Amino acid sequence: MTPVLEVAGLSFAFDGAPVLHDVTFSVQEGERVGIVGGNGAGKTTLLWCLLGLWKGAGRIRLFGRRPEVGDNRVAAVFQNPEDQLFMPRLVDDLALPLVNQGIAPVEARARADATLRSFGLEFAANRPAARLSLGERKRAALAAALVTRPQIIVLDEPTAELDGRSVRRLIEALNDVALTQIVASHDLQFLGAVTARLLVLIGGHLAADGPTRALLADREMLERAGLI
Amino acid sequence: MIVLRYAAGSFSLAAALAAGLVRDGVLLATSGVAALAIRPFAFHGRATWLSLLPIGAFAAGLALLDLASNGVPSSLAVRTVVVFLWLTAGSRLMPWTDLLGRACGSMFWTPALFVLVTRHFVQVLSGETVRVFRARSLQVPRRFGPGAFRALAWALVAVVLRSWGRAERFYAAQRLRGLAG
Repeated sequence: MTPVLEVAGLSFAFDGAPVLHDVTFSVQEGERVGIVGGNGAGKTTLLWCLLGLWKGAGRIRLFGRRPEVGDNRVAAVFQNPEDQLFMPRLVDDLALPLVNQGIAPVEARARADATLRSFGLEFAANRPAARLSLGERKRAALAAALVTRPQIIVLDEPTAELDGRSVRRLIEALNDVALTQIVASHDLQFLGAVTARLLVLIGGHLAADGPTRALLADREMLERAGLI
Repeated sequence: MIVLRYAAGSFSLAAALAAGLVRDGVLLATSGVAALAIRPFAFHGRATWLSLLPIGAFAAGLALLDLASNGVPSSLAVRTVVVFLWLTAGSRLMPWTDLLGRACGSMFWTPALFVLVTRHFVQVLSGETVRVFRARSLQVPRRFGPGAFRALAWALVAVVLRSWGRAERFYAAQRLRGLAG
């Protein structure tokens, strides 16, 4: 089976300071992969490279081609939902990428409404995202990413600053969608609940790649990664 | 509620336009009273009436100049105040952000999007400024002195850097959502 994502020898540096070193891995269709590492391990940088926002040395192939910003098959959820949601009404925020794809506004709003309903956010359709709780905003950002029906979703620190109930709802929402998921986080419990495979980044190096359950049981590895 | 705001906002803005064209004193006075009656719905607290002081002073000056040059006051000063009353009430009552959001996909979409993105950046900038200066006030209680000025300079640098970071992430997120540019 051809992987949907292939990364080979990826390195990236900020103003000469190396952040990622020779990272190699691949992701199959439908896989749920977690990227775990301490602060500054290179998780977000790796995601931005995968999304085509930053270009590093090495090779990245998404569906067999170099990643391009604006590829409808890939969607992303950023750590801060305010970076994504800015429209006066949540329904417009969800309709925005669909309108950008050329879908008629009426149809786009209908799809946005349906997506909000499936996330239990129909009550917030006519409110700005800023008026929602952080947990609701994170779910809204996820809904806004999924409304375009992507094949891969990339999430950066989705549980940051969330309370227990909001994390549980987010886990339910993620487990309800069947598509390739790449999740960067240092929330081990969350990764254990939503991913089957884990990539461990230590100082920009890919230190381990294996089943989530096995790696979460490897205390020595987690300690080396600064996660416990 | 939103329908009421659209109706009241549109009516007020139309009334402002009409008041600018009316010459009849009685009609202007009636319009002014109506505008004053609607004002508490558009403003809250002290701003309701305090914001009238500058325009009141301006109109009084205008009436005096009118009197000095023509010998008799015209309706210009009253008209100015009435237009101001309707215009400010209308601007406050009109749900502008909702209106901009509804422009999605229409011929006004590009300018509306520009306004919405600018508004978001202003909010980001003001939010970061408040956060940084609140942190500075906790760390440097003194308002003046060498240490306080150095802290102020660093706070301003922090605002710029943080806003830059937020703007970069916002731009990246919107590019991923298909907004070109």
